[in-house]
Parts: sequence; C-alpha cells; structure tokens
Amino acid sequence: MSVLIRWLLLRRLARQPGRTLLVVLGVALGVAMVVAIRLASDSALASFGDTVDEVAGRSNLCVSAVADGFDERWFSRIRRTPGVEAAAPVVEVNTLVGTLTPGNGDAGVELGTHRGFDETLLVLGLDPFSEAPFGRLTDLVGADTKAGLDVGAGLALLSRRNAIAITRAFAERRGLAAGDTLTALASGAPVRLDIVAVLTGEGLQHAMGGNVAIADIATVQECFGRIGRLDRVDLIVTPGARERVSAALAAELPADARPERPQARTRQVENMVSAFGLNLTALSFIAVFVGMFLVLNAVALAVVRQRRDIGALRALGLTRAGVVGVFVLEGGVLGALGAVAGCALGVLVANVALHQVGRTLSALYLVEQVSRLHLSARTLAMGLALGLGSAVISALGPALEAASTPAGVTLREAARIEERHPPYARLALAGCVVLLAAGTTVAASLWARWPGGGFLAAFFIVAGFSLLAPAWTLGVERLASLAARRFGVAATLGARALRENAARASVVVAALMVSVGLLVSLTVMVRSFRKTVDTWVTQTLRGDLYVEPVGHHASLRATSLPAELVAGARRLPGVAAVDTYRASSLTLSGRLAQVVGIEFEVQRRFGRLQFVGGEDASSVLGRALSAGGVVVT
Amino acid sequence: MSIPVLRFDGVVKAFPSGTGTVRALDGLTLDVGPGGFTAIVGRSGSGKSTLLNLAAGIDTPTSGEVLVDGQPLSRLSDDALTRLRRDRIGVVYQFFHLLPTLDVRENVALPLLLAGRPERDALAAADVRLAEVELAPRARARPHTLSGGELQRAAVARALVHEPSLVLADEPTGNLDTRSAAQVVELMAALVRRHGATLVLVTHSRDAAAAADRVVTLSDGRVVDDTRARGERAEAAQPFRAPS
Repeated sequence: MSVLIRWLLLRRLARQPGRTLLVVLGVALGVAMVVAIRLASDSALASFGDTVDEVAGRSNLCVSAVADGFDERWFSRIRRTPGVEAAAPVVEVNTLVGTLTPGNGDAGVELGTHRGFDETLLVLGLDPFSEAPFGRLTDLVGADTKAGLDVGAGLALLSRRNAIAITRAFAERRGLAAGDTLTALASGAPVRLDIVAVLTGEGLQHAMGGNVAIADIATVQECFGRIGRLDRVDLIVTPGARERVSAALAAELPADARPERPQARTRQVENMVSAFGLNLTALSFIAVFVGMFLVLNAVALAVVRQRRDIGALRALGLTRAGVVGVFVLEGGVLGALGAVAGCALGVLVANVALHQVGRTLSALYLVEQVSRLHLSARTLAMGLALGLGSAVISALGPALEAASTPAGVTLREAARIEERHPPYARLALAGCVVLLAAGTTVAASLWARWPGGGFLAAFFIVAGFSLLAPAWTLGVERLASLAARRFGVAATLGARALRENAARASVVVAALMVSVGLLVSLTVMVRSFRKTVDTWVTQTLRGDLYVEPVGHHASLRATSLPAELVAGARRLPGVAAVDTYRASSLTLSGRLAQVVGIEFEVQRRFGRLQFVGGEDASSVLGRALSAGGVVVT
Repeated sequence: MSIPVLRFDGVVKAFPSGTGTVRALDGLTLDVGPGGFTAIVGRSGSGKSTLLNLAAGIDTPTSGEVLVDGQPLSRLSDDALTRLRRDRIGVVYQFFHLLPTLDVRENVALPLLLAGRPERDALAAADVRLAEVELAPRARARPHTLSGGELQRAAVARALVHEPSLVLADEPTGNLDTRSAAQVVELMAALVRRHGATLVLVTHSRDAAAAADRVVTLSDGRVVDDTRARGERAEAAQPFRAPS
C-alpha cells in the first residue's frame, strides 16, 4: 500500500509543487490563526495565573477585598480566628513606571499624556514580619544571597523610605540595578522609588513578564494613597480546617471582604476573559472554513484532472475504497502539511500578537502585561487535529464522488462528467432553509440569552450562503455572458467555461465569498463597536472637560484625584457642574463586575442616560437619589 | 463441453439520450470459448466498446447476464468485480490510459501492485513483459515521451503482466499508423497464445480483425455475422442455461 501511496499520491503532489504549496498555505493560514489566537490569549491568562501562584506563596486561604480594599484593622481579627496558623497582609498596586526623575524641574508628566511612563509594574506591599511562615520573601529572592535580597537589603526595604526590590527580568530589560531610581505614577503624581535589591527567585521572573516589585506594605500604602487599606490577607490554616475557617470568616467579615481560595482569583479572570477568547477563536475558525474550501477545491480539481486515470485504475483493479483512500489521503497529506506549518506559523504569529493581545486584555479586563508565550500542547494538538480533520472532511466529498462514478462511465465520459450541472434549485432551496435556521437560531439565542447561539447562527449563515453559491454563480454567468458578447470570442468562452465547470467554480466562489464576508463582517463589527462607544459617550459623558490622574488606566482604584482639586473645579467661574466618577471592580457570583459611582444629581440635570422601558432619566435618577438606590445595566 | 470464458446472454444496454434511450446492445447473445483470438467488428456506434466494458465488469447491463469463466457478473459485489478484473482480466484501451506520473515500467507493474504483490516482484515481472514487447530500453521513460506504437505496446505489457485468462482490447490500433497497428495486433496475438489466454479485440479495422481466429460482426447492438478464420460460419450462440 505504501508503494501505491508513493506512486499514485506523493509523486503527483511533488510534481505540482505550486498547487500543493498554495493549498498547504491555505490550510496553514487557517490553523495559524486559531493556534495564534488561542496561544496568545492562553498566555495572557497563564501569565495572570503565574502571578497569582507566585504571589500566593504557601497560602491555602485568603481574605480578599470585594472592591476597593478593606480596613486594615480587620487584620488582627482575621489572624485571631481559630484555625488560622499564620496571616500576612498584602497591598497590590499596578502603576506606570518610567525612569524620569521628579523634582529636577521636570515633573516628567505632560498634561493629558503619560509620556515617559511606558510600562506597568505590579508593586506588592508585604509585611516582612508576617512573611516568615509563608516563606515568600525567601522563595522570591532565591538562594543566591549575593544577587538576591541579603539581610542588608531586607533591612533597607523596611527602614528606607520608598525602597523597593525589582525582578532580575525587569532590571535587565530596563538596564537597572540596585542603587538606581525608578519613577512611578501615584494618582497622576510621580513618585520616586529607590531600588535596593534585585530579586533572583525564578518564579517572579515570569509572573507579569517579570514586571513585579516588592516593597514594605507601609511604603506601598503611603506612596499610592492606600493608607489603612488592605487588598488581601493571605492565610495558612490548619489542614482540614479550611472550610470551617472560611465559614467563620465569612460570617464575621464586613461586606467588602470575603474568604476565598487563592486559585479562585484565576478562575474569576478566566471567566472574564473566556468571552474574549471565544470571540477570537470563533473568528479564527472562519479562516479554517476558508482553508476547507481550498482543500475541497484542490481535491475536486485533482479528481477532475485524473478522471480518466481513476477509470483506468478501477479497470486495472483498484477498489472503490482504494479510490476513496487515495483522495482522502491526499486531503490528509495536504491537511497534515498545512497543520504542521500552521502550528509553526501560529507560534510565530502568537509571539508577535502577544503584546497586542496582552494590551487588549489589559485595557478590557485589567489582566496585566504578558511577555512570555506559554506553548500549550493542547492548543498545538487542537491545531493539528483541526487542519488534518478539516482537510480530510473536505476531501471526502470529491473522493466519494470519484469512487461512486462507475469505471465505465468514467472512461467513457471523463471530462463530460464535470459538465454536469449541480442541482442549482435544490442547493439554493437548502441554502434558504439553512439561512432560515440561522435567523431562528439568532432569535432563539436572543430570547434565551445564549451567546453560543450566535456562533451557531454564524456557522449557519456561512453554510447557507455556501449552498447558495452555485445558483449565484449561474446567475453571474448569465449576466457575464450577456456582457461578454461585447468583448469578443475569448470573453464569451470564458463566461461559458464558468457554466461548464459550475460545480467546481461554485466551490471557489464560496471560498472567496466566505473570506470576503469575513473581511466585511469584521469591518462592520469594528465600526459598529465604535458607533456604540460613540453613542455611549454621547449619552453618558456630557462634560466639556475631563480630568483624570495620569496612569489611571493602569492603577485604577489606587489612583484618585485630590479632594481639593475637585472642590477647586467646582469653584471655577463658568463651571456649571462637576460630576465625579469613581470605578471599582467587585466580585458577583464568581464574576468580576464594575461598580461606578457618579453624581446622580448632575446626571439627572445634564446626563442623557436611557432606560429600559423608556422612562425619563430625570425621574429614574431622582428616585434612585432619594431612595439611595443603584442603577444597573 | 468446456465453459465459455466469456458469455453474453440476452444482454441489453441502454443509455439515456435526449428525451429517450438508445440501445447500444440489443439482446446480445455470444459465447467466447477458452483460448484463441476473437475480433468484434462493426461500424461506429454498433455497440463494440459497450460490449467490452460489460465484459470487463466496468459497466452493468440494463438487462441480461454477462458471465466470465461461468461466473455471472451481476451476482458479484463491486469489490469482487474489481478482484476479478485484477486477477483474471487484462484490458488494453485505444487511448492507452497509462498514468502520466509513472514511468513505463511502473505503469506495467501497477496491476501486480494493486493485487498486493511486493514492489520488487512487480517491477521484475514488468521487466519481463517489457522485454517481450521489445520496450525494455524505454522502461524508465515517461509515457509522454513514447510514440503511439510504443504506448500501445506498453499497454499490452500491462494487460498481460498478471497473466490473465481473458484479455480485452478496445480499438487498440485506433490511434496508430498502419505499420504500428499491424505490429501491435501481431504482438498481442502471439503473446496471448504464448500465455494461453483468450483475446477479445474490438476493432473497426478489417486488417486487425484479419489476424483473429474468429470475427464477430455487430450492428445496432446485435450479432449479424460470426465467422471462424477458416471461413466457417459459427453456430448461433445458444440461449444461456445456468450450469448445473
């Protein structure tokens, strides 16, 4: 059998290198898109997971802030809870950092920009006196005390104002060393941070791409306006007592803090990012669909070109199964080559896209910068299976058709078989039914609030239009034939060829239709998204001037405008109203949600919020204001 | 009485044509005994090639029965038919049908490979047949570099490489000049005799038919003449009776 494969298949593919290469490339592009997108988004998530794991240390339970931190006075009560063996408070702040030096006549910050502050750094405020049982500082600094956090540096972290330790990865990338200075933005104001040590522990080098710094908890609270607040208390509880301790803490803690396992934070982010990943993956599958059309067309073309050879082989003793095998194997070989190339290309593209995806995730979901690609064997295996599977499925149709045609008919009619017209009306009818199914699925998924239905509907739409492709091709051919008469015999023959090869031409038309459709839909989607944002901005933001701390997008809840600045703004002549805005994230049923504080009175007078049911914004907000209520999307 | 190698029993083969059907074979009854060389002649459209395709089992009759070595083809599955062709039938076509991606030697070895013979054995057997048809020097050549006569000799070698009991040739001289045609027919006749096979040759050429032991003339899908080489009129084929 291997000889036949070599003779009948591989040799043919090798003798048509251009065609083989094009089809392999088509499959590879589809697979590469899926692999790249999955790898990039998984890497972003894995980076977050790494950070959570590294920062959690030996903790097996923690008390986390639900939104904007919780009162640090709860720490001693948490530590005294029966079953808690050790507790360590943590403050976490994401900040923009640069190397500009404040106080040299140049604050380093320009109005409306954050030029010079180009990188996000996660600053962990830890309490060295509580850290011993967690072994976290020891683990983080590594065994080599010469390069790590020796006793002197440790003391410096405690005793020196604004002292921090940074990772080796971060130090190397920015050319920093112990003794250097780093400038961070705290509520829009530059803060000087002194590097007293470089962390050599391996774990943190990859968490957040190495953009992690450690400081004494008091330093972080002071520098970043978090005085009196904690983001987390990490706990080591007696083995077997976790549920009991968790229940006891839940009963005792205030509403803005709750006990959870450290890994729960990763799950929250996974939930949040999953929709983003699903969208990207679904889009990338369209590219695989295009690849499938290419394989289908390539194998169909191979069948056409070898119609007589197939007849001869059948007459010589090749079974129907053998014919199916040869062409399915052709699809398989093209698919396998495409899948392998696609996986390699996907890894390359993922490396390039990583930064972009990381930025998007960071902007949308606050998952921080990713700098290392996590190669997932599962994603690569999925890419291989996808390329191979889709190619084999695509090849199956032409292969079965080649095998089912009697050898006598094949030898007698050969090329004339291709002139047989596809069942235009039946295919078009099927296309309409499938499009109807798409519409029904859309309606049902909207009614049931089932996002998966959207993807199913998208598949139906692609399939429906593909089924309409033959009728569309015929229609275009008829129009083209009319026009072609004016351009001579060659044009007429060209138009006629379209009709005579309608079955195969329809496949090419469908492939082009899907890829152009993808381009159009993406463009429309992006424009719609912009329009939505525009509508939202017009509705909700009516201010003539906006003021926010520089670096707010990175530090979020750790940034705030000074109260005197707001009061000053209110006093400015010509200012009709000042609306203050404070956003914070909280966890609802395991998912992160945004809580936004605005001034209802200002919105009532000047805002344009629209409400379900058409009720007037003024009356809704007035009611909320008087009843102390909230408004939800 | 020996079982005919090939028997047609009231075979009808109709093809759709426009709004109706055309009967390429119209109740054909014919026996071909073992050994020897039978030529089927007739004008274009008389049903010669249809007869051959039915005999090779690559087409099915509309009604009636075709038997090869006493085996009714209608009772064989597609795979069994394929095995029958692979093991007991060799076919030579007017248009040669050599695979363009294989060289001459590989083309000749193909039926043996399809039958599951190892590559080395198949190629060795191909070399022997190529020597018999005097094509050994062109064994490694690709088909498109061969002349018409050479191509048909290669096709003959391929049809005989697995030592079939029945060799079917469909207008093998149709694309050849007179000299090459004569050579090919002479070669085929000699080889099938040497191997004890039965040759059924469909041709419109009286010259090609002249070399046959028996000439059957078709017209409108029926046998209108059946002549032995010695000039005797053959007995009319008897209606088929299933072997007891």
